[in-house]
Amino acid sequence: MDIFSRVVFAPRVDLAIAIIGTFLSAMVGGIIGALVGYYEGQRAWRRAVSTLIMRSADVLQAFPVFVFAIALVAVFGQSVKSIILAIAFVNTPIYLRLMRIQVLSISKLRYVEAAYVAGASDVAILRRHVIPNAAAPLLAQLSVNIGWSVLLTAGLSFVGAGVVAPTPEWGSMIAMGFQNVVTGQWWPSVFPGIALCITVLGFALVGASVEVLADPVRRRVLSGSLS
Amino acid sequence: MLLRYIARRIPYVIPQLFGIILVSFFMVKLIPGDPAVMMLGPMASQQSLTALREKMGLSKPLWQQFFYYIRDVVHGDFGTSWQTTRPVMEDLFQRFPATLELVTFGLLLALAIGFPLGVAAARLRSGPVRKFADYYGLLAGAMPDFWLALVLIYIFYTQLGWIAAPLGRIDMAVVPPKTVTGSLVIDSVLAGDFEALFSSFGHLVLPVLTLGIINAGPILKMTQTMVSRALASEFVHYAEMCGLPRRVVLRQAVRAALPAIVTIVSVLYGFLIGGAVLVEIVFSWGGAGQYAVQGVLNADVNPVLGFVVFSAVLSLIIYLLVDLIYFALDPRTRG
Repeated sequence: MDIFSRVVFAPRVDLAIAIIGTFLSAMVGGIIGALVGYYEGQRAWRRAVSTLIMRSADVLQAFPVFVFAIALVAVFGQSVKSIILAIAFVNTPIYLRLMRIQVLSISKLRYVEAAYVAGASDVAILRRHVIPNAAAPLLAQLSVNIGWSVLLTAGLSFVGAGVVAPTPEWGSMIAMGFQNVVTGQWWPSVFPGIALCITVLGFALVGASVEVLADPVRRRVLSGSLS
Repeated sequence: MLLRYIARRIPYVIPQLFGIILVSFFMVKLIPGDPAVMMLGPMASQQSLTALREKMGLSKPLWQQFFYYIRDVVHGDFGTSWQTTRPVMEDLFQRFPATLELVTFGLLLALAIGFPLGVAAARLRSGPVRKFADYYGLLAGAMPDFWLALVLIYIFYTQLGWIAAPLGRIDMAVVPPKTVTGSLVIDSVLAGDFEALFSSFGHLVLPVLTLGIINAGPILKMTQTMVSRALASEFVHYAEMCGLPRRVVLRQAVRAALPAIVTIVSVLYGFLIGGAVLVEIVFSWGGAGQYAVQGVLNADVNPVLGFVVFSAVLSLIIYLLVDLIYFALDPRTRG
């Protein structure tokens, strides 16, 4: 099989899985995190539900990530959809925590209080005032996380719990060349790995730039040095 | 103080452990595949299948199976693995030391690379060392560890022939030393067995190098961030104004950054107990993570559950140790 064309084709599968999985977890984790953060300081049963959710997140994060992901794929049956679900599941607690911390500090601010006094509903306050202001760190996390999910997808495929062989995917390509590396045929494994590195590196760089741009002080330094 | 601290932690730990077992039990049970069919093979008669299911308790409702499992775990029985036909407890006690050896040495190497580079990068604004540290941090995070392992095998085994074949922890022909700590390298030193030491060390070098190179990335970044933050803080400015030598000032800043570095190392440790699986597979290391992955792929329930419980308990112990190190490092936590 031609390695170059497979390496070039593989991102269709790898990136689709990583991007959809990460966005799913950011949506779900972000929304739950916002609700938990917003209602945490309120009446008794809402606080109880928030505590319950946070303790469940603790439990989920206590799992060894990789084994957890493999088990999830095994439960849902081996397909691209299951890998996406597994990645979304594993990442959700990260966004839940990030959003909760943000919302906890923002919902104490004056403008939220003002909106409340003006008679806005909880949903409206969250949607119009809290979430937009809390989203910046999540965006920075998103890019880094996509890269990380690409690595996880490749790892799953490498042990045979991910994308199945005829579909070109970097991890399974590395696995296919694995036995031959010892005897000196390095190219079937090394090139997909380089492609993987470049991709993840790219997302990490985007993440680092988003972090700088989202921080007003550092952005000023940057634009000052450019002008 | 230590006992009081542990006593305060327990009310949080027990429900968490219970939750972990609960979730993993039902998740693993949901994996399609009938262990009875897998154990007896496709030719088994209906009768023997039913008999085996009865014997393993598989015909009972799930929640009942769960309570039986919990009862057994409390008594220290994790069941048997049908793949190795041995008690899971024994298997884990044999395999966890292998993983811990790998991860411990890997993280020590990662610290040895990441820490000095991080401190240097925090002190310098520009120059080749800073550039190298910046690129290293980005690249180390982007490399898949199993791929790096393959590249290292190709360079050091296939091309240069410096290192033994990447199979297992020690040469087949060498008698392993008497088990004391479970780490073959340390055991060989204790036994004074240089042949075993040489062989086990040779097998350990490449996997440790892989883990060290990859995990130095996050340690480097954390060190750099924390040290440069400390260097910008007021107590450092004060120390500089007092005219203290730069070396002393830097040492104070590094000391202030230590708790955060301990945290990142502990997080990495907890992650790697399960996360070193891929490197274990490449080197046929026979570690705990590999055991669990085999279990998942073959619907072998008990090893997976045992592994999850073991690693959860281990990470709890690690977090406990970290808190103790905090006590030693950070004077503010000593009341």
